[in-house]
Amino acid sequence: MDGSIKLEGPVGGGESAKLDLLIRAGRGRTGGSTGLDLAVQRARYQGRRVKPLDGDLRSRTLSSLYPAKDDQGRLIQDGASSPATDELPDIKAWLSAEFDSMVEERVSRVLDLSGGDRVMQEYVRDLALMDFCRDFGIDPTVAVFLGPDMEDFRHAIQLLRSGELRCDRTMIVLNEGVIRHGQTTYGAFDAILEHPDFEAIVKDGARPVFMRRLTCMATLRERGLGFYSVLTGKPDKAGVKASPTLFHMTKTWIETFEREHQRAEVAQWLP
Amino acid sequence: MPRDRKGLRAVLNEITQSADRSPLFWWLVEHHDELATAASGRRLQWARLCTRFADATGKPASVQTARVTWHRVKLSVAKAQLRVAAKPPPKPGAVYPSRVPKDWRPQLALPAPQSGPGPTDPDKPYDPLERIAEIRRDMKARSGRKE
Repeated sequence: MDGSIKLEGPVGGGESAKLDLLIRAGRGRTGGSTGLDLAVQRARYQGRRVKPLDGDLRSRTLSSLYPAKDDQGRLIQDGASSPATDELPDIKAWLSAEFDSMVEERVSRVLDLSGGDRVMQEYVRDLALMDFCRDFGIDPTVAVFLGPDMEDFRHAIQLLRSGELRCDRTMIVLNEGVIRHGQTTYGAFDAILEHPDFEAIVKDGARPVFMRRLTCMATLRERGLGFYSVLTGKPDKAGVKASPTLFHMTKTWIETFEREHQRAEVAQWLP
Repeated sequence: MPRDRKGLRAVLNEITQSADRSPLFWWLVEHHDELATAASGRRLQWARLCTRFADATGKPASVQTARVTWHRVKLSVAKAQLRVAAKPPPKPGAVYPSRVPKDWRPQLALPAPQSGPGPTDPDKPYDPLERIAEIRRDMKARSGRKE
């Protein structure tokens, strides 16, 4: 056996050629924007460019975290983009323009349409989005975020069963961060985990991921500290570094996130 | 593979009964170190590796088979390395200093392989029901419950 092996970068996990589109699906208030924020920060920390697409004009979470312009009105590279209005034609035009840029620039995108599954479904149908991605070398991933609310779950099941947003890479993110105080994690998600529809969609290929709560999330946001800025010792807006407890909580959370995504074999789906 | 490649291969032959092993198994053994280094905590891209294997040997292999075989190779190599490491060093004076290779270094003690594939074993084939069970275990642990 003399077949020599020469491992190129991507075989070992090199990421230079990655072009990913991470689409957040599911209803609002399930922590999807936070999940996308983490995905963006993670990619940038690892040296990959990602541009956030913020179609959630009500909360504008990604736009506020990743402004498109600085204080002097200069454009910031890979700042968030959003549609002119929340009218359907504007959203569709915006998506088309962004996907065109994505192909030209070869820069990954995360897309937040919080609660806008219908818009996305219609757009997916119009463009044949999954075929478009295949033709232009984009790897799409749909991430359905869920809290313990059974209505959210039923909505997600409907969405996944409709087949309109069907994607080979589908994650179901069970987000501990949106559990009401006083509920235990297991108790909160019990009904979903034991639901036959949950088992059916997981058997059908959707990958479930458990995302833990970061108890100091609000503090980090208030201080304008990114998750990975905490790890690297970068100071906040006031020039103060994260305390050891904040550092430890954030580090543990990120480590758990990585481990969980490895176990679900979806880490490579992230941009 | 380490410096004493022949010795390790001989031990592997003993452990794995080579007649029963596939060309894929031995190909993965041959490239164990390169693959382990390339993976370094990440996942290997099995589709590409299977293509390379097919190019090198003319025999196709499925991704699933390759993953399972890689898992067995890792265990076998770890066992063989332990056996090689456990062999007593030659008695002082048995080899003349002039015959000792320049790059010789004392053998390092190797950690024992983990007992059995755990739930976080990266090379265990993905099992959707086990994934749900893992999440339930995590959630129970987070809620202070025991199995």
